[in-house]
Amino acid sequence: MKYQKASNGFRIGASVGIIILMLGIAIALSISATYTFSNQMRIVTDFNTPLEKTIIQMSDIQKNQESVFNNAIRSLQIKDTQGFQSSESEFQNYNNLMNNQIMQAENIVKIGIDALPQEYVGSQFNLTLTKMTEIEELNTEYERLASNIFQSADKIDSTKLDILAADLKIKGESLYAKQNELLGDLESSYQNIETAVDENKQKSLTLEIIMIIAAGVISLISGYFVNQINRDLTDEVIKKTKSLQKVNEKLKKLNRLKDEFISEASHELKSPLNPIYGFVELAKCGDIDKEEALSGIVKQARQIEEVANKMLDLGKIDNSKLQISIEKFNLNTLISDISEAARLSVNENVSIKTELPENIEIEADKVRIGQVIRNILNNAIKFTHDGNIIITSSLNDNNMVEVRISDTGIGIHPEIFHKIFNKFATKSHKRENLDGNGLGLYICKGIIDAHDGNIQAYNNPHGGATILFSIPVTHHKNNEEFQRSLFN
Amino acid sequence: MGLRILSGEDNEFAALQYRKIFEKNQHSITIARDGEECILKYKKVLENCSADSYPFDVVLLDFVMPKKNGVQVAKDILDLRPHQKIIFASAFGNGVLDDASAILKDSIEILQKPFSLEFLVKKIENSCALKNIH
Repeated sequence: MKYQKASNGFRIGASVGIIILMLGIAIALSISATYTFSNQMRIVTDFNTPLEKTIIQMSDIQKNQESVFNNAIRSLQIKDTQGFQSSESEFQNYNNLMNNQIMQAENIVKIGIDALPQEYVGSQFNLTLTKMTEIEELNTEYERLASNIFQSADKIDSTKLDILAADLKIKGESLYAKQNELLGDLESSYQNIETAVDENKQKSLTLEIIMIIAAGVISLISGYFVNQINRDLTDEVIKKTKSLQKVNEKLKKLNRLKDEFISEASHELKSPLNPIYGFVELAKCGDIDKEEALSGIVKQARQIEEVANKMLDLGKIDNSKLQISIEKFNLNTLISDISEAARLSVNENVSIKTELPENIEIEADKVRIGQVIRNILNNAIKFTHDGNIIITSSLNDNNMVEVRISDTGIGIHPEIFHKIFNKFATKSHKRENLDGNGLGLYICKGIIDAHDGNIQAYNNPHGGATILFSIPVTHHKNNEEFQRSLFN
Repeated sequence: MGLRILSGEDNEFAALQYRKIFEKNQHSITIARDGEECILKYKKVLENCSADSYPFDVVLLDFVMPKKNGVQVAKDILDLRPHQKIIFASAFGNGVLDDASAILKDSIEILQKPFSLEFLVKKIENSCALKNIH
């Protein structure tokens, strides 16, 4: 149960931990995605804007170059050498400007490639860089072509010049087209980044939903475990409560029986006092003679002694302090003496017989064993109003002697059968009629246990009950001591 | 005129002493050794009684008796004669007797053992005298 509790506790802890972790991841993803997208948008904007401006400027420069080139051609046609040279110089300046712009654009793109993550916009900038390289190459060719024209203009005929000019124009248009293409790319990169942002937002949202659903599922599982633990705990509390209630009931019952026993014991001790006072009173008045009074007083005193001894025995047995005094004696003689005495007190309808086939000598506490036999015999007499009581003794192979007292009485009631050797087991039972204190057989068991013996009870198949006990013939514990005492 | 007393007492010596002292005081006493015998003897005398008379003037009961205890006997007798005078003689403590007297009626008295025989005789004689006055 303890292990299960620890396991359940661990499960709940782990579940709560996972829920918190998942919610944390979901929130972190959301924040991260928002930050990443806004950052990318900012970076793209930061790079695209100057790049666009540079490319537009490049287009403007190229327009100017074309215009200057046309001026140079016109100057050449009208033989304006100074104008031609001025245009050539101006063209060269524009070339320088164009190269500067191209370098600036390339730098912007390279910085952009380094700054932006490849998976989102880096690839776009790679393409831009490739196109910039193409523009640079086209521009180089444009410049080279223009330079050739400027250098050979005065040496070639007009037809050739027109062809070269047409080539230059075509190259310039290619350059324009490439620049416009690049501007278009930049324009579409905004859309691409927006699409990428949307896609990533969607992915992030999906992931967040999955996380939240997972957290919900784990919460449900945790709830189930908590519920299960609660149920287990409730069951355990109910079980413990029932167990405690049972113990409490037992204690109450035991306490009640103890109170009753004390009351009963005081009653048993006080009851003989009344006839004692009575004997004294009658003897004083001369209503009975002194001998009769003294005899009665002695008998009553013995009864008090017996009750007191029972109470002392009870205390000794309860505290495991019952001591036995071992001696060697003839068990059958003891049984015969007790039976003989008992025959005097039973009514004529009850006969007490003995079957003692062997002469059995044992080592035991004679007084205590006599007490056991007397007690069992008195019980048999009490519950046999008409019939026989038979006492037998026998030796068995295990060095044990068995004494069996059977009667033809009313037998042992099923309610008390299983606890007949318990303290107060028979007390207040309806058959007892308050006669008896429920201690006799408990004390008998205590005495037999002290002899390392065994005592049992059963109902006879044809009515009545049998109580039998067996004890070792030789008392093992004090065997050596006993042997020494015999030789000494 | 002597009183008619029925005594339920399982202690043979106490019973013998009751017989001696009551007979000495001109009362007649019937002794029963257990609860069942006590009821049987009560019923037997009751058979010869008229409807408005009592078989005994007083029933003296020990609280503890074999077969049927004093309270059970008293209940049975009161079922037969609800106003029968009953006196309990008991060695039990007050607590136990209080429980019993709560069940039983006012016509019941309780004597705590031990008591002198002379006291018992006077007690019974006075109780009967009072009852007659009432």
